Amino acid sequence: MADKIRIRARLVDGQVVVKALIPHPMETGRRTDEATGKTAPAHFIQTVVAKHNGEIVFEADWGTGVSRNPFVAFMFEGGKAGDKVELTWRDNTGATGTVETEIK
Amino acid sequence: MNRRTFVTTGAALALAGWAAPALAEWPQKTFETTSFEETLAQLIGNAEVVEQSDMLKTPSIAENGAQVRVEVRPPMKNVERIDLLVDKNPVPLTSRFSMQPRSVPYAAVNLKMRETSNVIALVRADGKVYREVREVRVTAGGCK
Repeated sequence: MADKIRIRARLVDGQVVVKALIPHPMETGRRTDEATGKTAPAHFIQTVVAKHNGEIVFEADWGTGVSRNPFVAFMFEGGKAGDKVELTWRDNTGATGTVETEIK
Repeated sequence: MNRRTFVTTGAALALAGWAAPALAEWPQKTFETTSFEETLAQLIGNAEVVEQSDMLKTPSIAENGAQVRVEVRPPMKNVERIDLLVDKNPVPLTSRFSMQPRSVPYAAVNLKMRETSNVIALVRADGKVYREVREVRVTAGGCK
């Protein structure tokens, strides 16, 4: 997972709109790997959480039906330009990734 | 456990609870359910179902079933959670969005769709489940 999460948080009509692209294979555990002929083990993000000023403003639980390199968008109230938003994911193997951005 | 450890453990737990409100548990059972009917039963339970027609946005045709943009904007108040399902996928429940005190009830995500089927949004609010169904025609499947 060398690729970085791409994230943008923008203030629109007083609400913060966050859009993110998370590099992740999102393997279902049912796909046959053509190179090896074996079933690729399940490897997918299970939870995504975002915080603003230390408070949780977004929580998602995902299964294998979310696309590879997931796109996700959400909105919350009470943010202002310059504030930080932190997004963290955790997958079924226990791996995690975090990114922080500034509200624009 | 003696009284002292009980008191300090209790205080530590209370403090941990205050500092980090517990996240909802990942709904493993429903994410392992392959029957659409069984998935609905688990998600709806005994709640009253209200058919809705103005909150779910999907393409009508998806050329690539591996990336189908789905957007939900529930108009009702007190939304607790949004569940997104694809009825003919190997696992119908794709994603759940749990609203937080400052959340605006809204979610957008890209989903996999194996074949032409229905995308279903179930929005839980005030003890009811608001449902909207939209068919998406998939010309190249995206679920293996």
